[in-house]
Amino acid sequence: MIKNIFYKEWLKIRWAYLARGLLFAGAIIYVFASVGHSYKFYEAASYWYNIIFRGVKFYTTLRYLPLLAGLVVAAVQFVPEIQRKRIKLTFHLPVDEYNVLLVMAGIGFVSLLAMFGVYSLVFLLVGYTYFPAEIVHSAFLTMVPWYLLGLTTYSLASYVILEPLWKRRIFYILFAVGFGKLFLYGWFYNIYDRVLIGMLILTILLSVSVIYSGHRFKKGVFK
Amino acid sequence: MLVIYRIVCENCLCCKHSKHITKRKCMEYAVECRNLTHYYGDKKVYENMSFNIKTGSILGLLGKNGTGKTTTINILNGFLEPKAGECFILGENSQYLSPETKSKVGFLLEGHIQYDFMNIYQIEKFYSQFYPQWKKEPYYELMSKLKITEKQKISTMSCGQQSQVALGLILAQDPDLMIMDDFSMGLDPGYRRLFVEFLAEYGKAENKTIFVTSHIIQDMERLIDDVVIMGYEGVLHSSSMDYFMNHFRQYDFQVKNGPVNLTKDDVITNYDRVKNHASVYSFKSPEDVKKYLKDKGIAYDNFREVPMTLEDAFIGITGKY
Repeated sequence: MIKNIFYKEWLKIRWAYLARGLLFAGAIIYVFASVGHSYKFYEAASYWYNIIFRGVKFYTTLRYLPLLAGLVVAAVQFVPEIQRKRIKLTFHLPVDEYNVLLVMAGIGFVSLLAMFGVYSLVFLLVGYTYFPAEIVHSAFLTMVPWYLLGLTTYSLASYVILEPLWKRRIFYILFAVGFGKLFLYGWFYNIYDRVLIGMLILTILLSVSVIYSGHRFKKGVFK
Repeated sequence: MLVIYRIVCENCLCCKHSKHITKRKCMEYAVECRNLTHYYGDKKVYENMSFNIKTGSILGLLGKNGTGKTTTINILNGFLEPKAGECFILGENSQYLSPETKSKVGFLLEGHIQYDFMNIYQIEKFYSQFYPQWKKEPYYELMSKLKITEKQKISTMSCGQQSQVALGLILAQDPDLMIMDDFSMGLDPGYRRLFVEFLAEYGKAENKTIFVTSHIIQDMERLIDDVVIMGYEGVLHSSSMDYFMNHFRQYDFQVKNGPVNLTKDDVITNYDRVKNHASVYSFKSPEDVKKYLKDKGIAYDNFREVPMTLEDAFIGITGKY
C-alpha cells in the first residue's frame, strides 16, 4: 500500500520538490556567496567578531524557507484531494482510510525531513570551510526550530486543508499562525536549545493531526 | 441479526470470487437500507427510507434535485453517517466497510471525478495494485477508442473522455457491485448511449449489481430493472420497472362543471390542471378512476389514457415543480 500511495503522492509533489530544492540550493549559494563577499570587504576577524559578539546572523535568508516548503507541500498534496471532494476516491480504496491518510501525511513529512536533512548537511559542510565548528554548530542549532516550523506548518496546513468547514478552517489558521510564531520568537543564537526536545515532540505529535480532519470529512460533518 | 458462519458456495454467482464467506449467507440483496433518516441541521432529507437492491439487478434511483439521491450514495459509501437507520453493502454495515468488501464495490463519483493529475497509464498503474482481480484488457480496449496523446493528463480531456476513463477503471476493477452517481452528467448523447448500452450488456452478462442515479430519465429507461423514485417527502415509489410502467397511468379529461377539487389520495397519486384540461396520475384502472370521479361529482368529457415514457411517469409522480 505504501508503495502505491507513494506513487500517487510523488506525482503530485515532484515538481514542487524540484522547485523547493532549487530554491533552497539558491538560498544556500546566496548565503555563502554573501559570506565570501563579506570576507573580501571586511577582515575575517572583524566579521567573526560581529557574528560572535554582536549576534549578526549570516543565514537569515534561510529563515522562512522551511515554512514556505511546508505550506507548498501541504498545498500540492491535499488541495487536489479536496477539490470536488476527490478524497472520496482515496477513502474508497480497499485499504483502511486512516492508514491511507497517515501514509499520505507521512510521505509529505518524510520528504520535507529528507530535504531539510540534505540542506542542513550541505550548510554544515560548506559552513566548515568558512567558519570554525563552534559558529557553524551554533548556527545550525539556531536554525533547527525553523525546520521544525516547516514540518509543523506542513502538518497544520494539511489539517486545515482537509477540514470540511470554512469557519473551522479560519479558526485553525489563526491558531496555526499564533502557534507558528513560537518557533520564530527571539533572535539570539541557541535561544531554543533548552526547549528543542519539547518542540520536536510537539512536531511529531502534530504530524498525525490530519487524521482528525479526515475523520470529520468521512463522517460528512457540515457544522 | 448478523449470522456469521462459513459455507462453501463455489457455484454461487454472488460470491464467485471467494469460496467461503464469513458475513451473511449468500446474499439475495447486494444492498439493504433500513429506516434511513437524515437531516442537514433542521432540514429533513428523508425519514425511514428503506429499499433493497437484488443481487444481479440494476436499480435506478430517480428524484428531483435536493431529494437526497447523493445523500443516499454518500451513506452507502460510508461518507456520511445517517441520523438513524443503516445500510448494508454485500452484508457489511456501510459505515464500517472492510477493505475486502470495498474491493468488490466500484464507485463512480458525480462528474466522473478521478485523479486527473495523472494520465491514463499512470492511473491504471496506480489502481491495478489495489485490486487482485484487476483486468487491464477492457480498460485499454476502451482507452484505444479515445483520441488522446500518450502523456495527456486526464484534466485536459473532455467530459466524455473523462467518463470513458472512469468507466474503463471500473470495468478493470471487475466489482460485484457498481454505484454510479449521476453517470450521465455532462455527457453528450453519443457518450450517454455508449455508457448505457455498455452498462446494460456488462451488467447482464457478468451478473453485476448496479445502482445508478441520473437526471436523464430516458437513459434510465433503457437500463434499469428496478426503480426507486424519491420526492421531497421521501420515497414515492419503489418497484420493478415493468410494474411501474405497466401500472402507473396518466388519464386526461376535460372538466365539464366549474372548479374541481382534486386531491392526492389512494386513487389519485398526482394531478395537474390547466383551465378545463385535467390530467390525473394513478395506479388504478380506468374504470376505478372513472368511478372515483363520479363519486366526487366531477363531470368529465374525453376521458382517455395517455401512453407515458419513464420521463412522463417520473414527472407525473413527482410533479412539475
